Amino acid sequence: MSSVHLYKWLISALLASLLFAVSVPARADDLTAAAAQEKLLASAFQGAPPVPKTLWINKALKKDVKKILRHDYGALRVRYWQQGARTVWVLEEIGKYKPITVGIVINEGAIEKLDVLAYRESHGWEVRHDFFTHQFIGARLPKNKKLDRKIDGISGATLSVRALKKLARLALYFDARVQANE
Amino acid sequence: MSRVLFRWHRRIGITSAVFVLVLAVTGLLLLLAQPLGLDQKTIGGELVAKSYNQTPKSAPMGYQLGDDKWVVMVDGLVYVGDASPTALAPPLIGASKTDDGLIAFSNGAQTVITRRDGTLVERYADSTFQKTRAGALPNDVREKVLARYQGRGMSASRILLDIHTGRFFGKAGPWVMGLASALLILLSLSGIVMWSTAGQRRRRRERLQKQAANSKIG
Repeated sequence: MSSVHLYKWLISALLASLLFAVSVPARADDLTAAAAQEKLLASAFQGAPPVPKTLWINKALKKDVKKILRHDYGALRVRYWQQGARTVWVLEEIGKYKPITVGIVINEGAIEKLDVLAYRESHGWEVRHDFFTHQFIGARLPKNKKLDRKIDGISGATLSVRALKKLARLALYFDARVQANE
Repeated sequence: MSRVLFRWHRRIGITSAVFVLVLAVTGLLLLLAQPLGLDQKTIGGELVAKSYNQTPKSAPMGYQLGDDKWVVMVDGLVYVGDASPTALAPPLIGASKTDDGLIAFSNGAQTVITRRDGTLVERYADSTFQKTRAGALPNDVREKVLARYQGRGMSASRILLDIHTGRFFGKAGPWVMGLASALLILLSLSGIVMWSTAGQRRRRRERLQKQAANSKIG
Protein backbone atom coordinates (compact mmCIF):
# COMPACT_ATOMS: atom_id res chain seq x y z
CA MET A 1 0.00 0.00 0.00
CA SER A 2 1.47 3.37 -1.00
CA SER A 3 1.81 6.14 1.55
CA VAL A 4 -0.92 8.17 -0.26
CA HIS A 5 -3.37 5.25 0.02
CA LEU A 6 -2.50 4.73 3.66
CA TYR A 7 -3.02 8.45 4.32
CA LYS A 8 -6.44 8.38 2.55
CA TRP A 9 -7.42 5.25 4.45
CA LEU A 10 -6.44 6.84 7.77
CA ILE A 11 -8.39 10.01 7.00
CA SER A 12 -11.50 7.95 6.00
CA ALA A 13 -11.22 5.87 9.17
CA LEU A 14 -10.90 9.04 11.26
CA LEU A 15 -13.94 10.64 9.59
CA ALA A 16 -15.98 7.42 9.96
CA SER A 17 -15.10 7.17 13.64
CA LEU A 18 -15.99 10.83 14.11
CA LEU A 19 -19.39 10.27 12.46
CA PHE A 20 -19.90 7.21 14.64
CA ALA A 21 -18.98 9.20 17.74
CA VAL A 22 -21.40 11.94 16.76
CA SER A 23 -24.39 9.74 15.89
CA VAL A 24 -24.13 6.97 18.45
CA PRO A 25 -24.34 8.95 21.71
CA ALA A 26 -27.66 10.51 20.67
CA ARG A 27 -29.28 7.08 20.30
CA ALA A 28 -27.41 5.87 23.36
CA ASP A 29 -29.11 8.68 25.31
CA ASP A 30 -32.49 7.49 24.00
CA LEU A 31 -31.65 3.94 25.12
CA THR A 32 -30.55 5.24 28.54
CA ALA A 33 -33.84 7.15 28.82
CA ALA A 34 -35.83 4.02 27.85
CA ALA A 35 -34.05 1.88 30.46
CA ALA A 36 -34.36 4.55 33.16
CA GLN A 37 -38.05 5.01 32.35
CA GLU A 38 -38.65 1.28 32.76
CA LYS A 39 -36.89 1.38 36.14
CA LEU A 40 -38.88 4.41 37.27
CA LEU A 41 -42.20 2.82 36.27
CA ALA A 42 -41.29 -0.42 38.01
CA SER A 43 -40.47 1.41 41.24
CA ALA A 44 -43.54 3.69 41.04
CA PHE A 45 -46.00 0.84 40.47
CA GLN A 46 -44.25 -1.96 42.37
CA GLY A 47 -43.10 -3.83 39.28
CA ALA A 48 -46.38 -3.85 37.32
CA PRO A 49 -46.87 -0.57 35.45
CA PRO A 50 -50.37 -0.01 34.05
CA VAL A 51 -51.10 0.44 30.34
CA PRO A 52 -50.09 3.98 29.32
CA LYS A 53 -52.79 6.56 28.59
CA THR A 54 -52.57 9.73 26.53
CA LEU A 55 -53.60 13.28 27.30
CA TRP A 56 -54.37 15.39 24.24
CA ILE A 57 -53.13 18.97 24.43
CA ASN A 58 -56.35 20.71 23.46
CA LYS A 59 -56.88 24.45 23.04
CA ALA A 60 -57.52 25.11 26.75
CA LEU A 61 -54.48 23.10 27.84
CA LYS A 62 -52.29 24.60 25.12
CA LYS A 63 -52.70 28.09 26.58
CA ASP A 64 -51.73 27.03 30.10
CA VAL A 65 -48.88 24.83 28.86
CA LYS A 66 -47.48 27.77 26.92
CA LYS A 67 -47.68 29.88 30.06
CA ILE A 68 -45.67 27.28 32.00
CA LEU A 69 -43.08 26.42 29.34
CA ARG A 70 -43.01 29.86 27.70
CA HIS A 71 -43.31 28.07 24.36
CA ASP A 72 -45.64 25.54 22.74
CA TYR A 73 -45.42 21.94 23.93
CA GLY A 74 -44.26 20.75 20.51
CA ALA A 75 -46.45 17.64 20.35
CA LEU A 76 -50.21 17.06 20.23
CA ARG A 77 -50.46 14.59 23.10
CA VAL A 78 -48.52 13.35 26.09
CA ARG A 79 -48.21 9.81 27.41
CA TYR A 80 -48.68 8.98 31.09
CA TRP A 81 -49.25 6.06 33.42
CA GLN A 82 -51.92 6.10 36.10
CA GLN A 83 -52.99 3.92 38.97
CA GLY A 84 -55.48 5.55 41.32
CA ALA A 85 -54.15 8.90 42.54
CA ARG A 86 -50.63 8.16 41.30
CA THR A 87 -49.49 9.27 37.85
CA VAL A 88 -46.12 9.09 36.12
CA TRP A 89 -45.06 11.57 33.43
CA VAL A 90 -42.01 11.42 31.20
CA LEU A 91 -41.40 14.86 29.77
CA GLU A 92 -38.66 16.63 27.85
CA GLU A 93 -37.46 20.21 27.84
CA ILE A 94 -34.42 21.80 26.24
CA GLY A 95 -31.86 23.03 28.77
CA LYS A 96 -29.67 25.12 26.53
CA TYR A 97 -29.34 23.19 23.29
CA LYS A 98 -30.43 19.61 23.96
CA PRO A 99 -33.49 18.00 25.55
CA ILE A 100 -33.42 16.80 29.16
CA THR A 101 -35.70 13.80 29.74
CA VAL A 102 -37.31 13.81 33.17
CA GLY A 103 -39.58 11.24 34.85
CA ILE A 104 -41.95 12.61 37.48
CA VAL A 105 -44.09 10.54 39.84
CA ILE A 106 -47.07 12.37 41.33
CA ASN A 107 -49.22 11.04 44.13
CA GLU A 108 -52.32 12.86 45.35
CA GLY A 109 -51.26 16.11 43.71
CA ALA A 110 -47.73 16.20 45.12
CA ILE A 111 -44.43 15.16 43.55
CA GLU A 112 -43.30 11.85 44.99
CA LYS A 113 -40.20 11.45 42.86
CA LEU A 114 -38.37 13.37 40.15
CA ASP A 115 -35.64 11.63 38.18
CA VAL A 116 -33.52 12.91 35.31
CA LEU A 117 -33.73 9.99 32.88
CA ALA A 118 -31.37 11.36 30.22
CA TYR A 119 -29.15 14.41 30.33
CA ARG A 120 -27.66 15.37 26.98
CA GLU A 121 -26.11 18.81 27.65
CA SER A 122 -22.39 19.19 28.28
CA HIS A 123 -22.90 21.54 31.26
CA GLY A 124 -25.26 21.58 34.20
CA TRP A 125 -25.33 17.81 34.81
CA GLU A 126 -25.46 18.50 38.58
CA VAL A 127 -29.27 18.62 38.26
CA ARG A 128 -29.24 14.81 37.97
CA HIS A 129 -28.09 14.43 41.57
CA ASP A 130 -30.41 13.59 44.46
CA PHE A 131 -29.33 16.66 46.47
CA PHE A 132 -31.07 18.73 43.79
CA THR A 133 -34.00 16.53 42.73
CA HIS A 134 -34.99 15.85 46.37
CA GLN A 135 -36.03 19.49 46.64
CA PHE A 136 -39.03 18.71 44.43
CA ILE A 137 -40.42 15.96 46.69
CA GLY A 138 -43.75 17.06 48.15
CA ALA A 139 -44.05 20.07 45.82
CA ARG A 140 -47.58 21.02 44.79
CA LEU A 141 -49.02 23.41 42.23
CA PRO A 142 -51.27 26.12 43.65
CA LYS A 143 -53.72 28.06 41.48
CA ASN A 144 -51.02 30.48 40.27
CA LYS A 145 -49.35 27.49 38.56
CA LYS A 146 -46.05 28.08 40.36
CA LEU A 147 -44.40 25.54 42.67
CA ASP A 148 -45.41 26.00 46.33
CA ARG A 149 -41.74 26.03 47.39
CA LYS A 150 -38.46 27.61 46.49
CA ILE A 151 -36.08 25.39 44.56
CA ASP A 152 -32.45 26.36 45.19
CA GLY A 153 -30.50 26.81 41.96
CA ILE A 154 -27.06 25.53 41.05
CA SER A 155 -24.51 28.00 39.74
CA GLY A 156 -23.49 27.05 36.22
CA ALA A 157 -26.66 25.03 35.69
CA THR A 158 -29.22 27.85 35.61
CA LEU A 159 -30.90 26.78 32.37
CA SER A 160 -31.10 23.10 33.38
CA VAL A 161 -32.56 24.07 36.77
CA ARG A 162 -35.10 26.28 35.00
CA ALA A 163 -36.00 23.41 32.62
CA LEU A 164 -36.56 20.99 35.53
CA LYS A 165 -38.72 23.50 37.39
CA LYS A 166 -40.85 24.00 34.29
CA LEU A 167 -41.26 20.24 33.83
CA ALA A 168 -42.21 19.76 37.49
CA ARG A 169 -44.90 22.45 37.11
CA LEU A 170 -46.08 20.93 33.82
CA ALA A 171 -46.37 17.42 35.27
CA LEU A 172 -48.33 18.74 38.27
CA TYR A 173 -50.58 20.69 35.91
CA PHE A 174 -51.20 17.65 33.68
CA ASP A 175 -51.88 15.51 36.76
CA ALA A 176 -54.43 18.02 38.05
CA ARG A 177 -56.19 18.00 34.66
CA VAL A 178 -56.26 14.20 34.52
CA GLN A 179 -57.55 13.88 38.10
CA ALA A 180 -60.18 16.58 37.47
CA ASN A 181 -61.45 14.72 34.38
CA GLU A 182 -62.00 11.47 36.34
CA MET B 1 2.65 65.47 9.71
CA SER B 2 -0.48 66.02 11.81
CA ARG B 3 -2.46 66.96 8.70
CA VAL B 4 -1.40 63.71 6.98
CA LEU B 5 -2.29 61.71 10.08
CA PHE B 6 -5.70 63.40 10.26
CA ARG B 7 -6.36 62.69 6.59
CA TRP B 8 -5.51 58.99 7.05
CA HIS B 9 -7.47 58.81 10.30
CA ARG B 10 -10.52 60.09 8.40
CA ARG B 11 -10.00 57.64 5.51
CA ILE B 12 -9.58 54.68 7.83
CA GLY B 13 -12.63 55.80 9.83
CA ILE B 14 -14.87 55.96 6.77
CA THR B 15 -13.59 52.64 5.38
CA SER B 16 -14.04 50.76 8.64
CA ALA B 17 -17.41 52.35 9.48
CA VAL B 18 -19.33 49.66 7.55
CA PHE B 19 -17.42 46.86 9.27
CA VAL B 20 -17.82 48.48 12.68
CA LEU B 21 -21.57 48.63 12.11
CA VAL B 22 -21.69 44.97 11.01
CA LEU B 23 -19.53 43.87 13.96
CA ALA B 24 -21.46 45.95 16.48
CA VAL B 25 -24.95 44.98 15.28
CA THR B 26 -24.16 41.27 14.94
CA GLY B 27 -22.25 41.30 18.25
CA LEU B 28 -25.18 42.92 20.04
CA LEU B 29 -27.66 40.46 18.50
CA LEU B 30 -25.41 37.54 19.48
CA LEU B 31 -25.34 38.79 23.06
CA LEU B 32 -29.14 38.91 23.05
CA ALA B 33 -29.56 35.70 21.02
CA GLN B 34 -31.16 33.76 23.84
CA PRO B 35 -33.73 36.30 25.05
CA LEU B 36 -34.63 37.05 21.43
CA GLY B 37 -34.91 33.32 20.66
CA LEU B 38 -32.44 33.60 17.77
CA ASP B 39 -30.91 30.21 18.63
CA GLN B 40 -34.32 28.60 18.01
CA LYS B 41 -35.18 30.46 14.78
CA THR B 42 -33.98 29.16 11.44
CA ILE B 43 -33.29 31.08 8.28
CA GLY B 44 -33.54 29.21 4.99
CA GLY B 45 -33.35 30.09 1.35
CA GLU B 46 -31.05 29.47 -1.55
CA LEU B 47 -28.29 31.80 -0.33
CA VAL B 48 -28.09 30.05 3.06
CA ALA B 49 -28.13 26.56 1.47
CA LYS B 50 -25.40 27.64 -0.95
CA SER B 51 -23.27 29.29 1.74
CA TYR B 52 -23.44 26.30 4.05
CA ASN B 53 -23.11 23.61 1.38
CA GLN B 54 -25.96 21.66 2.96
CA THR B 55 -25.31 18.25 1.54
CA PRO B 56 -26.32 15.27 3.70
CA LYS B 57 -23.62 13.13 5.31
CA SER B 58 -25.60 9.94 4.73
CA ALA B 59 -27.79 8.81 1.85
CA PRO B 60 -31.56 9.20 2.38
CA MET B 61 -33.31 5.95 3.35
CA GLY B 62 -36.93 5.23 3.95
CA TYR B 63 -39.95 2.99 4.38
CA GLN B 64 -43.04 2.88 2.19
CA LEU B 65 -46.40 2.77 3.94
CA GLY B 66 -48.91 1.21 1.56
CA ASP B 67 -49.94 3.74 -1.11
CA ASP B 68 -47.35 6.35 -2.07
CA LYS B 69 -46.59 7.46 1.47
CA TRP B 70 -42.91 7.42 2.43
CA VAL B 71 -41.14 7.95 5.74
CA VAL B 72 -37.64 9.12 4.86
CA MET B 73 -34.63 9.80 7.10
CA VAL B 74 -31.74 12.08 6.16
CA ASP B 75 -29.02 12.71 8.77
CA GLY B 76 -31.26 12.42 11.82
CA LEU B 77 -34.26 14.23 10.32
CA VAL B 78 -37.39 12.26 9.43
CA TYR B 79 -39.64 13.55 6.65
CA VAL B 80 -43.20 12.24 6.66
CA GLY B 81 -45.42 14.85 5.04
CA ASP B 82 -45.25 18.56 4.36
CA ALA B 83 -44.84 19.46 8.04
CA SER B 84 -41.38 20.22 9.48
CA PRO B 85 -39.18 17.12 9.76
CA THR B 86 -38.87 15.39 13.14
CA ALA B 87 -35.43 14.98 14.70
CA LEU B 88 -34.58 11.39 15.61
CA ALA B 89 -31.18 9.88 16.28
CA PRO B 90 -30.27 7.47 13.45
CA PRO B 91 -30.79 4.75 12.42
CA LEU B 92 -34.44 4.56 11.47
CA ILE B 93 -35.32 0.90 12.02
CA GLY B 94 -38.90 0.87 10.79
CA ALA B 95 -42.17 2.69 10.12
CA SER B 96 -45.79 1.64 10.21
CA LYS B 97 -49.36 2.90 10.28
CA THR B 98 -51.16 2.82 13.63
CA ASP B 99 -54.74 1.64 14.12
CA ASP B 100 -55.98 5.21 14.42
CA GLY B 101 -54.51 6.23 11.06
CA LEU B 102 -51.38 7.85 12.44
CA ILE B 103 -47.80 7.08 11.42
CA ALA B 104 -45.23 5.55 13.77
CA PHE B 105 -41.49 5.21 13.27
CA SER B 106 -38.61 4.36 15.56
CA ASN B 107 -34.85 4.16 16.03
CA GLY B 108 -35.20 1.20 18.38
CA ALA B 109 -34.97 3.40 21.49
CA GLN B 110 -37.57 6.07 20.83
CA THR B 111 -40.84 5.82 18.92
CA VAL B 112 -42.36 8.84 17.24
CA ILE B 113 -46.02 9.18 16.27
CA THR B 114 -47.02 11.76 13.67
CA ARG B 115 -50.06 12.64 11.63
CA ARG B 116 -50.05 11.83 7.93
CA ASP B 117 -48.79 15.36 7.22
CA GLY B 118 -45.84 14.83 9.59
CA THR B 119 -47.15 16.92 12.53
CA LEU B 120 -45.67 15.49 15.72
CA VAL B 121 -48.28 13.78 17.89
CA GLU B 122 -45.98 12.30 20.52
CA ARG B 123 -42.61 10.69 21.11
CA TYR B 124 -41.78 8.20 23.82
CA ALA B 125 -39.06 5.83 24.95
CA ASP B 126 -39.68 2.42 23.42
CA SER B 127 -37.35 -0.44 22.57
CA THR B 128 -40.01 -2.86 21.31
CA PHE B 129 -40.70 -1.39 17.87
CA GLN B 130 -40.83 -4.02 15.13
CA LYS B 131 -37.87 -3.74 12.77
CA THR B 132 -38.88 -3.64 9.11
CA ARG B 133 -36.96 -3.72 5.85
CA ALA B 134 -36.16 -0.39 4.22
CA GLY B 135 -37.52 0.13 0.69
CA ALA B 136 -35.71 1.35 -2.41
CA LEU B 137 -36.39 5.08 -2.55
CA PRO B 138 -37.87 6.24 -5.88
CA ASN B 139 -35.88 9.07 -7.48
CA ASP B 140 -38.68 11.64 -7.23
CA VAL B 141 -39.12 11.00 -3.47
CA ARG B 142 -35.34 11.17 -2.90
CA GLU B 143 -35.03 14.43 -4.84
CA LYS B 144 -37.98 16.02 -3.06
CA VAL B 145 -36.59 15.15 0.36
CA LEU B 146 -33.08 16.30 -0.56
CA ALA B 147 -34.47 19.62 -1.83
CA ARG B 148 -36.26 20.09 1.52
CA TYR B 149 -33.16 19.04 3.47
CA GLN B 150 -30.96 21.51 1.62
CA GLY B 151 -33.48 24.28 2.03
CA ARG B 152 -34.10 23.72 5.74
CA GLY B 153 -31.99 26.70 6.76
CA MET B 154 -29.62 27.40 9.60
CA SER B 155 -30.15 28.77 13.06
CA ALA B 156 -30.22 32.58 13.07
CA SER B 157 -27.58 32.78 15.81
CA ARG B 158 -25.18 30.61 13.78
CA ILE B 159 -25.63 32.82 10.72
CA LEU B 160 -25.08 35.93 12.87
CA LEU B 161 -21.90 34.44 14.32
CA ASP B 162 -20.63 33.60 10.83
CA ILE B 163 -21.38 37.14 9.61
CA HIS B 164 -19.64 38.49 12.73
CA THR B 165 -16.48 36.49 12.00
CA GLY B 166 -16.80 36.88 8.21
CA ARG B 167 -17.07 33.12 7.56
CA PHE B 168 -20.48 33.62 5.93
CA PHE B 169 -18.81 35.40 3.00
CA GLY B 170 -16.55 32.51 2.02
CA LYS B 171 -12.82 32.06 2.37
CA ALA B 172 -12.04 35.77 1.95
CA GLY B 173 -14.58 36.76 4.64
CA PRO B 174 -12.40 36.16 7.73
CA TRP B 175 -9.50 37.99 6.02
CA VAL B 176 -11.72 40.99 5.28
CA MET B 177 -12.99 41.02 8.87
CA GLY B 178 -9.40 40.63 10.08
CA LEU B 179 -8.40 43.61 7.93
CA ALA B 180 -11.34 45.57 9.37
CA SER B 181 -10.11 44.75 12.88
CA ALA B 182 -6.60 45.90 11.91
CA LEU B 183 -8.11 49.13 10.55
CA LEU B 184 -9.94 49.63 13.84
CA ILE B 185 -6.67 49.21 15.74
CA LEU B 186 -5.00 51.76 13.43
CA LEU B 187 -7.98 54.09 13.91
CA SER B 188 -7.66 53.91 17.68
CA LEU B 189 -3.88 54.42 17.57
CA SER B 190 -4.05 57.36 15.15
CA GLY B 191 -6.82 58.88 17.30
CA ILE B 192 -4.66 58.59 20.43
CA VAL B 193 -1.61 60.07 18.64
CA MET B 194 -3.71 62.97 17.29
CA TRP B 195 -5.24 63.65 20.69
CA SER B 196 -1.89 63.66 22.48
CA THR B 197 -0.12 65.83 19.86
CA ALA B 198 -3.07 68.25 19.83
CA GLY B 199 -2.80 68.50 23.62
CA GLN B 200 0.94 69.16 23.42
CA ARG B 201 0.37 71.86 20.77
CA ARG B 202 -2.37 73.50 22.84
CA ARG B 203 -0.20 73.53 25.96
CA ARG B 204 2.74 74.99 24.02
CA ARG B 205 0.49 77.69 22.51
CA GLU B 206 -0.89 78.56 25.95
CA ARG B 207 2.63 78.73 27.38
CA LEU B 208 3.78 81.02 24.58
CA GLN B 209 0.71 83.24 25.00
CA LYS B 210 1.41 83.45 28.74
CA GLN B 211 5.08 84.37 28.09
CA ALA B 212 4.02 87.04 25.59
CA ALA B 213 1.54 88.54 28.05
CA ASN B 214 4.18 88.54 30.83
CA SER B 215 6.77 90.26 28.62
CA LYS B 216 4.17 92.98 27.72
CA ILE B 217 3.45 93.64 31.39
CA GLY B 218 7.23 93.68 32.14
